[in-house]
Amino acid sequence: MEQLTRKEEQILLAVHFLKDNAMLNTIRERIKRYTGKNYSLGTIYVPLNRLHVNGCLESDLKKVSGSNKPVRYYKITPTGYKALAVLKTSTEEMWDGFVEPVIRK
Amino acid sequence: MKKDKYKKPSLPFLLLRLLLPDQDRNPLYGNFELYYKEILRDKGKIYAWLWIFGQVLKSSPGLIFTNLSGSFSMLKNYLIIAFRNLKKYKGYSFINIFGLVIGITCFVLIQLWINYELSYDKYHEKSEQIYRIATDSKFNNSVIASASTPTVVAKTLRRDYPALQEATCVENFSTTLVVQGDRSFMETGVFAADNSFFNVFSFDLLEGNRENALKEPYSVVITKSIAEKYFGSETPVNKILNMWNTDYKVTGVVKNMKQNSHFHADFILSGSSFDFFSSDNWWTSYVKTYVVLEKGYSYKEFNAILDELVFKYRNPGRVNTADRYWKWYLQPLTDIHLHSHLSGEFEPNGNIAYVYLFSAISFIILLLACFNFINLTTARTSFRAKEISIRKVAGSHRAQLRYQFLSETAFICAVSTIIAFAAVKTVLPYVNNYLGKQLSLSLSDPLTLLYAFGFVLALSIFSGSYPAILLSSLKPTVLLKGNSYSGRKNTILRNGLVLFQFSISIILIIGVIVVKRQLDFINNKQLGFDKEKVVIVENADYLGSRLEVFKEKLLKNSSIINLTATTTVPGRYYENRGANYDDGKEILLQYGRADENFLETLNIELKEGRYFSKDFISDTTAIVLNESAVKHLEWKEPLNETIIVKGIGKYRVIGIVKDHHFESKHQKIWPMAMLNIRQNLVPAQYIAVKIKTNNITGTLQKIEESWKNIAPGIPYRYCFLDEDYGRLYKSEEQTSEIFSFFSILALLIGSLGLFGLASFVVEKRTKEVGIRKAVGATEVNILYNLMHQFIIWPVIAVIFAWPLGWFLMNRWLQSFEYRISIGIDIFFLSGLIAILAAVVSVITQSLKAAYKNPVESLRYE
Repeated sequence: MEQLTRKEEQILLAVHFLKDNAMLNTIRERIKRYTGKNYSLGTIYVPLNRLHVNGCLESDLKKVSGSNKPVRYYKITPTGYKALAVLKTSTEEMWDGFVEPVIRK
Repeated sequence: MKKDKYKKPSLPFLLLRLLLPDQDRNPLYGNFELYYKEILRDKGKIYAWLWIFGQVLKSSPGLIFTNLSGSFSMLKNYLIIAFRNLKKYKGYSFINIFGLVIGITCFVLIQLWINYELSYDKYHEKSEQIYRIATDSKFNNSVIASASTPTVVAKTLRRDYPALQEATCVENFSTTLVVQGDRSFMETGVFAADNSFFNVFSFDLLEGNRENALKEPYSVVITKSIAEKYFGSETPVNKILNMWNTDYKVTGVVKNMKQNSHFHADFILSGSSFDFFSSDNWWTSYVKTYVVLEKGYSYKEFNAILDELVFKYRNPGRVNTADRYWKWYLQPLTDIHLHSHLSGEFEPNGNIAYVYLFSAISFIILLLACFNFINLTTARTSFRAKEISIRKVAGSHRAQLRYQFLSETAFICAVSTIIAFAAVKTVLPYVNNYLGKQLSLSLSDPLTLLYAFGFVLALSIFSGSYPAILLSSLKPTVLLKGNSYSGRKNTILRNGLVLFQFSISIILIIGVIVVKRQLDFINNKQLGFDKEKVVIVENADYLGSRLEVFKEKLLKNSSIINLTATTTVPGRYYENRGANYDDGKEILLQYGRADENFLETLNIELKEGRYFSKDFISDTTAIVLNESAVKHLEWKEPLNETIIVKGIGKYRVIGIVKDHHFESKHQKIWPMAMLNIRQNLVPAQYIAVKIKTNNITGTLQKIEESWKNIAPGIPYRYCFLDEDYGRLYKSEEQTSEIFSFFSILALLIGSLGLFGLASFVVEKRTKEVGIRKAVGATEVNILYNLMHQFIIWPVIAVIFAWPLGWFLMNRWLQSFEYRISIGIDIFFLSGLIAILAAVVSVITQSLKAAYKNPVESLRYE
């Protein structure tokens, strides 16, 4: 199982915390709020789609009041949670014991 | 909720539509819409518009990427299917690919040739700044278009116009004997140039100094292959080469001149060795003058400077009028090869008209091959019907199907291109041999690969679009039920393409026939002299005083009818000089010198007066003119008039000869004169010997023996006048051959396509034919039934082809001074050939079907 990329990690976390409201626009807003990065819709869409194809996310088409086209809402699958868990442990292991060094002049 | 009425900005959303991947298109569209509405509410229309536009642009790379990676996953499947289909219908696939390969190979070869022709002389560093000075003059009715100018022009330009960067004079010599030690060879590439030669042209000097290699008189710069030929592996510098009994010291070695140059020099002698290079005469010492102008200088402005020169020095005070003018003008160096056909050119040049012609032909042939592909593919839709229907039922979009068939076409085109490139590489050496050029296809050059890639892409899109659209539009319901597919619109296009192919082929056939006939006509046209059975013995000027002895010896031979010593023969270089007559009038004369047997040996008719005779000593200053000269001079009683040939002397007219083609038959017959060789100003270079028709080899041997006896140290060289004269037409013969070749190829491609179509149609109608036979039709009936739908097309094609063909050929014939008329039989012949080709293509399949046992064709599992 390949490691999740940074963006994929951010998207998965966003989907988890957005619960029922996880669609392209809201994910983008949340990432913008938390990281300050103003990614374009396309930039979000590519890894999102990749996760979808991988099986880490599943989706549903729901009608929204704003437009006449149905919009995709995403949910994390067990595979997705497994990937997140792997990422979390490996990251924690890598960060374990990290203390910022004091540089003497 | 209040219904918001808003207007969607069309442009960004349209763009979006294009970019969005197929699967997720609607939802994603919805995402953008939501944003738009939100921002519209918060910040207003303009901001929203800009924001959406920006978002679309920023998202485009990501969206395109997703699109592609989505497509790539299906691509593998498409390619597998394409490959399987190729194998399943081997016959049709072969015809398709074969036709494409032929088309692409021809296209690539012709484009390579065109590229080469356009690249002449461009390798010089300053090639865009180099110009040649040419002469344009009209004098009453005689026009002079010459590539030569006097040497003093360059000299004066250098002195008086410092704005000029460089100027150089170059001239070539006729075949020369070059002696080194005890070896000697006849060389054709002997040139002379002054010291600025290497400042104008970018030839790499392997040894020697650019600045002064050609400074000292009696020095020579040779090419690498000449150095190896004469000196082996030793350094040739400071060694001696002898020409015309003068020693020349080798002062440099230059790399062999590239083939795509308008002149090819093997030896470059220093101009200072020759008087005429430093002459101050404005009417003689003609050489080719090249100048280098500053970058960006308009060369037309320079023409005004040249006009000044003419006004100041050559014709002082005389203003050019419409009827009588003398102009020197600039020709860009890079234009010379394709656009310049002046007298005095170093070598016969190519022709821009041919570049256009063959470029058109290459596209036409490619087009025909593409049409074949389109026809065959669309005709076979019924074979793919089931597959397409199932794909559609399983959920393929039309776009996906289009993509599938386009990729299939791309696959076939790529395969064909690869095979075609291999074919080009194999054939190229032979082509180069035949043409005498050096075309090359470099597969390692990234530019070539880029072109190839773009070519395959363009070809696939062009050939594959229509089949892709057609195939993707089939309705599953119709097909799965078992009905076979046949569309009205389909047949119209197919027939239209066949019609087009045959029209083009017929026009090409007409062209080929007309060209052949015109060339034959030119060949057989009355020359005004006999060129058969005349042997030209060269190097006669080395015989010196032994010339007369040699002549007498030969005349004793009974197989020799007559001979003459002369400085030139028809088809070779005739010197030209200006001549004055009637107190100040001027004429430019081509002239040669010969002895008293010249007219008889070549069987040139005398019109008035008499020719040179040994009996009259005064004949040494006699001159014989041709009819054109007399017409130009406007003399009523030409005999006994005087003419002063500039730089040579006064001559009295004793006779007039009938006009004969001493130059190529394409040219008008210019004023020409014969001077008496007995004046002993210049030795005769050639002896033209008229021999009997029997035992030619024996006679040749005898002549060689006599030569070896008299002049053992001098190489014996001879040729036949008819071959020599025919050399002038060699390039035309070649062009006509190439043209015929490609026309036949075009017809072949068309027939190939027709063959494929016929096979398909026959196969589809197997059952129908079987039923017809069972009910009682004869083979002939079946044959007619199957064939008439194909044969009818060439018949209709002639309606379009004949007028167009006549028009085009008429235009071409206008360029000839002497031309044939286009007879009706040519048209009938072309139609016949086309019909014949069509018949041959369809007949095998039709016969097979007509004679097939109905039991077999009606058998059904």
